[in-house]
Amino acid sequence: MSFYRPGLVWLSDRDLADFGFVAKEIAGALGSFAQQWPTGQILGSSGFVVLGRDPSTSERTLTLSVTFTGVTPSELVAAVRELEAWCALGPLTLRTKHDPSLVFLCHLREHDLQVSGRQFRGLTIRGSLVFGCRNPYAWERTPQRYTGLTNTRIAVPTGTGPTQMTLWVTDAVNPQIQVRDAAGNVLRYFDLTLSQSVDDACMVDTPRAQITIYVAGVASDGSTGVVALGQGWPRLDPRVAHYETQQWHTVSTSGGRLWVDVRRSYLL
Amino acid sequence: MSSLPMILPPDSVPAGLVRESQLLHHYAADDLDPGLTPASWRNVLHAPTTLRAGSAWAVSANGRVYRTPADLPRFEWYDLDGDGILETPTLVVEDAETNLCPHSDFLTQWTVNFSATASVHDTVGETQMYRVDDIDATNASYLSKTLSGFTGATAKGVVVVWGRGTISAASGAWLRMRSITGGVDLLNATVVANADGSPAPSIVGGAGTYQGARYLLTVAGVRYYALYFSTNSVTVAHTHEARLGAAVTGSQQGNVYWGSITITDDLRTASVIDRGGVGSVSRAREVVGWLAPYVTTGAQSWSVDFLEVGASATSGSVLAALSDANGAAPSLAVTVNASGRYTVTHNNGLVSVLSAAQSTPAFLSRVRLLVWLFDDGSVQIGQSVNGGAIVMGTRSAANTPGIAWGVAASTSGFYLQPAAGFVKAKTRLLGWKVSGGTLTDTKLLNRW
Repeated sequence: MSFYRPGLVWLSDRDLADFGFVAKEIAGALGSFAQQWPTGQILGSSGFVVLGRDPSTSERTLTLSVTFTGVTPSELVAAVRELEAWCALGPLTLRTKHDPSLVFLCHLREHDLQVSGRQFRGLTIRGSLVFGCRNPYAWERTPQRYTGLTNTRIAVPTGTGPTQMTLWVTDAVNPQIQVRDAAGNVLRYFDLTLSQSVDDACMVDTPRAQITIYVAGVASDGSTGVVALGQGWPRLDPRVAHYETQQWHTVSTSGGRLWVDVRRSYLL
Repeated sequence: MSSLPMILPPDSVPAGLVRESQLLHHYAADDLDPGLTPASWRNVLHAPTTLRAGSAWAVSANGRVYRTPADLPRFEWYDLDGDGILETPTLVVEDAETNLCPHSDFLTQWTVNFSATASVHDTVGETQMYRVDDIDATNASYLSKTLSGFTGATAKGVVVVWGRGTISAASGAWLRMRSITGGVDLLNATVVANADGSPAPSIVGGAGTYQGARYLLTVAGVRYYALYFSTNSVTVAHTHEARLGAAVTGSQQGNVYWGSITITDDLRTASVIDRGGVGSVSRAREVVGWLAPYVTTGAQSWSVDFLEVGASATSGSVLAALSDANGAAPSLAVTVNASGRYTVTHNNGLVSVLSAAQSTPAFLSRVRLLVWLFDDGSVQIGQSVNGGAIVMGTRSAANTPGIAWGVAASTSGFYLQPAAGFVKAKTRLLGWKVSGGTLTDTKLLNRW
C-alpha cells in the first residue's frame, strides 16, 4: 500500500510530498552544533586565551527519514532526479511542520534509498535524505522591517544566533549610522557620503558587504567612496541584548530616514 | 544531536499520482528583496517590474508608517494571529489615490470648535499622534477640517489612527464626516475603548459603515489602531467637513488619541497617504508584475494568497492577471465582479468566460484563491477564507484559447496590476504560485 502525506516538510517552499516522499522523522533539527573559538598563546601569559569572539561552527546535518509513495524503482529514479534538480536550483531552504516560521539553509548532500520486497510485487521504498547546513542556524522565514526618523533609536530584537541586517537610508545627506547596545553605548558606526533626493534610496546589505544606490528606482552599485567604515560592518549580537527585559540593540541615522530589515537566527 | 519524534502518521491515497507541479511562477512576500525575486530560481527568467511615480506609505513591522521612494516595491506588515506582533509582510499594490483631507497629519492646524485642544503626543514614523482633549463641560468640542475635491461616485473611504485616552469620556470619542451644504452627517462613528485598549466603534443613525480595525503598535501603554470606515451617501458637489472629538456627550470631558486621517474617493481606503498640507496628497499607480518571456497559454493552476483590504468592495478591482503589460486580451485575470466576488475571467481575445467565488470575504480576512484554466479554455475558481474549506465556484463553459497571448508578447507575464487595462488594485499579496496543468485532486490542493 502506498500513502501520501503533504504538509510536513518543504524544500524551498515546495512540499516534499510533491516529489512523492513522505517524511517520517527528521534528525538533527533540534540540538546544538559544535562551536569553537579561536585561541592562542600570549607572551607572558600561561595557557590559551580566546582571540576572537566569532566562533567557527560545524556543519549541521539534517537526516530526513522518508518513504516513497511510488511502487516501482523507475518511479523512484524519476522522483530522485526531480528532487535533485529542484535542490540544485539555488539556495535551498528546508522547513518543517514543527515550526514553519523557521528555515534551514541547506544543500542536499546525499540520499540512501533502499528498495525492499519482491521485485515486481509489494515493493517498499524507504530510506533517508541527508541535508547539510553549512550555516548551522535556523533562520526566520519572514523578515521584519523596523523604521524610524532622524536620530530615532530603532530597537531591533535579536534571536539566539546572529541577526542579519540590511539597512535602507532615504532623504539623507551624509548620514552616520550608529549601532548601540541596550544601554545606549555606541558599539559601531559608519558614515555614508550621500545627497539624496526624495526619490532616492540607499541599501546597505551588511551580510554581503554591499551598498546599492537607487535613484528613482534604478539600482547601481555603491562605490567605495560612498561608505567610510569606522569599525567595520555592523551586526547584531545576541550577547548584547537583554532578552529577559526585552531591551535590544538600537540602530539610528543622523540624517534622513532609516529602515532596518532583519532576519533573526536561532540556535535551536 | 537529538531526533524529533515521528511527525504525523501517513494517510492512504491511491498509488500512481501525478506529482509534478510544473511550477511556472512563484513569488512569496517573505523576502524584502527590492528586485521581487521569485521564490524559486526556476523562474529566474521572469523579470520583475516595479513602477510607481512617486512616494507611497506603508506600515512597517514596528507599526510605524514609513515612506517608500519612487519605483521601489512597498511592503506592509500585519498582525494576523492577534498577538500584538506584526509578523506577516505583504507586498502592496494599489491604484492611484488622493488623500482629500488637508493637514491630515497636523491636527494642530484644524479649526477648534468650542473648547478642545490638540497636542503632539508621539511620532509614529511618518505620522504623528495627537492627544485631543475636550475641556468643555457643556458642549461636545471638536476639531474640524473642510474637505473639498470629491469626485466620482457617492462612495468614500476613511481611515484614521486611534488610541484610547488616558481619561476617556464614558460616551466615547467620535468621528464624523458631515455635508455642510446638506446639513447632514454622512459618517458618524463613536469609538469606545475596550478594557484592553482596543476599539469598539459603532455607527450612529446609519451614517456610514465601520469596516474594521487593525492593530499598529503600543507606545507608552497606549495601543494605536487604524480604524476603517466608509460612507455611501456623498454628494460630491457639496462642501464637507471632517470632525474629530473626544467626548460624545456635551457635558462630559475627556481625551483621546487621534492620528493621521486619510479620506479618498474609493469605498475603501486601503493605506495611509500621509503628510497633507493645505492641499491634497496623491499616491501614483503601482505597476507590479513578472515578465514571462515564454508565457504559458495552456492549462494552468494558480494559488493566490492575500489579505482582503477592500478590493472585494470595489467592482473591477484587479488581483492578478496573466496578460501583457497593458492588460490586453487574450488574458486570464482575477478581478472583482459587481457582486463583490472574486472572479476569474478567461478572455481569448474575442469572447470571455468566467467563474465567480461563492462569497465575499470580510475585511482583513486571509484569503486563498485557487484558479484553474483548463485545456478547453474553461475556468473555475475556489476560495478559502481564514483557513476554511475551499468552496468551489461553478466551472465555466469552454472557450477556445487565443493563439497569441497578449498584444505585446515581449511584455507578457504575471501582473498584480498592469499599466493599463485592469484597474483599482488594492492588493496585499502573501504569495502567488502558478503551475502548469490543472491540479484538481483534493489532496494535491491541500498541499498548497
